[in-house]
Amino acid sequence: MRPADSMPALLAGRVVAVTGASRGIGRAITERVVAAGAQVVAVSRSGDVPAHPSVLPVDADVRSDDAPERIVTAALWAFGRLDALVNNAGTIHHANCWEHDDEAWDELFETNLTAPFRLSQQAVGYWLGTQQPGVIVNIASIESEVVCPRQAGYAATKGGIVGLTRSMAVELSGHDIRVVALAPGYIDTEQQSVNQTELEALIPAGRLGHPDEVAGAAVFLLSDLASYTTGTTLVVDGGYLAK
Amino acid sequence: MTDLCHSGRRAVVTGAASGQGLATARRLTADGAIVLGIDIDTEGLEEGFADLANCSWAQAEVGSEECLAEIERFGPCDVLINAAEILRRHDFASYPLDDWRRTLEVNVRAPFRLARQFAADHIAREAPGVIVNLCSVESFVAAPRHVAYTASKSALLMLTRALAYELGPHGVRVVGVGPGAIETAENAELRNDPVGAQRALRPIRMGRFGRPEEVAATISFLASDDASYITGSVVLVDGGWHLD
Repeated sequence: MRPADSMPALLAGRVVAVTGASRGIGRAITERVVAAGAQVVAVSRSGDVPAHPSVLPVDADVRSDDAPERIVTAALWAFGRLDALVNNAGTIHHANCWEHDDEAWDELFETNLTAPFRLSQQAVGYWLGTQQPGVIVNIASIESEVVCPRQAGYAATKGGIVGLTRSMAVELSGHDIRVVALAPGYIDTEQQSVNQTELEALIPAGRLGHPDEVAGAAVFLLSDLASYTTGTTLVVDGGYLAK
Repeated sequence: MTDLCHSGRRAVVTGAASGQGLATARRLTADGAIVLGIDIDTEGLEEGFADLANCSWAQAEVGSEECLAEIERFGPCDVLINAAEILRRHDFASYPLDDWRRTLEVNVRAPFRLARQFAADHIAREAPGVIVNLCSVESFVAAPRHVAYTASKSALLMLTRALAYELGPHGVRVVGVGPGAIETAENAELRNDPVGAQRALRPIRMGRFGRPEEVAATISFLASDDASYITGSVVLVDGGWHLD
C-alpha cells in the first residue's frame, strides 16, 4: 500500500464503493481513498484487490443482475453506511468502425454505461431513502471529447457517461447528491497497448500519467473540497485536450 | 433540375413517418433527392410520402436486420440520415432498465449499425458519402427526467466524432444536427399546457419552439456539397438554448 504521505484525511469516516478495484486506475483509487481515511468496498471480478483492514473485497461482475444490490448491501453490512460510489470498471475494444461487431458493442455499453447507471440507481435509491448525502464519480475519458482511432464503440460509451453524469447531477443536486466525471488521458496501465514513445509525443506533458495521479483527483472530487462541484468533468491528461 | 443541391442523390432517412424525420425526407425530396423513408409507423409513412415523387418507404424497426436489408435493396445511396429517436421521461431513481436499454438501442445502436453498413459499402465502392446523425442540445446540456435520452445523445455525439475521424480518409463525411425543443407530436401535450410550455421555453433565447422544417433545412445543408469541408461537427438548431 502507498503510505498516506502528505495526503490529509479528506475522507475520514467515509465509506466508498470502487468498481474495477483490482487493476490500474481502480486499484490506485482504492489505495488513495483508504490513505485518505475511508473504508472501501472494492469490487472486482478477480478479488485481487489491495489487502488492508479498511478494504472489503466484493467479487462481482458489474454487469450481473444482482451486482448493484450486493455492492450496496455489502457496504451497509460491513461498514454500516455508504457515502460514495466510483464507477471505474470499464472495457475497451479496438476495431475499424465499419468492422466493429455487435457483440463487442453490446459488451462495451453494458460494462461502461449500463452498469454505472444501475449501480448509481441503487446507491441513489439508498441515499434518497435515508435522506443522506452522496457522491458519485464516473470515470470518463479524453474520449468523452476527442477521438482515438479504432475505438468508435468505446468513444460512444465514454460520451454517454458524461451525459449520464450531467443528467444525474441536474436531477439530484437538490437532494445533496453530487455526480461528477473524471476523465483520464493516457495513463500508464496494463490496458495501454499502443507504442509508448509515439504516444508521449502527443502529450504536452511528454509522458503518460500515473494511475496515482488520477486517484488523487478522485479523492478531491469525493471530498468536501469539491462540495460545490457537480455535473462537470475533471480532466487529468497532461494537457492532451488543450492542444 | 440540375441546380438543386441534392439532384439525383439517393438518401435513406430513418424515423421518416413523422416530425423531423418526415420534414427531412420532404426537404431532401424538394432539393432533388430520391428518398427511402424508414419507420415502424406504416400509416405515417403512407400519409407523409403520398405526394412525394420518386420516393419510397419501408416499414421496419430501425437498426433491425430487416431495416438493413431494406436499405441494401434500395441500392447504392449517397446520404444516410439517422433521424429515428425515442425519448422516455422518468425520475432517475425509478427509471426502468428496459426503457434505458431501449433508448440506447434506438438512439445509438441503430445509428451505429446503419452507419457501419453505409461505411463498409462506401469503402468497398470508393464512393463519397454523408451521414447525418440526429444529436441534440442534450448532447451538451442535461434536462431533468431525461437520463437515458441525455446519455444516448451524448454517446451519439462521440459516435459522430469517431465515425468522422475514421471515415474522413475514405471520403465519407459524418456530421450531427443538434435540435433543441422542436414542435413534434411527441411534445404536443407539453406545448399546449401553458405552465409546461412556459417552463420549456425559459432557457430558449428566441422564445419559441423550433419547427421540424428548420431542422430539416440544416440537415439538407449539411448533407449537401455546400458543406463539403464540414465533418465531425454538430450544428445546434436550438434557438439559443445552449447559451443558458
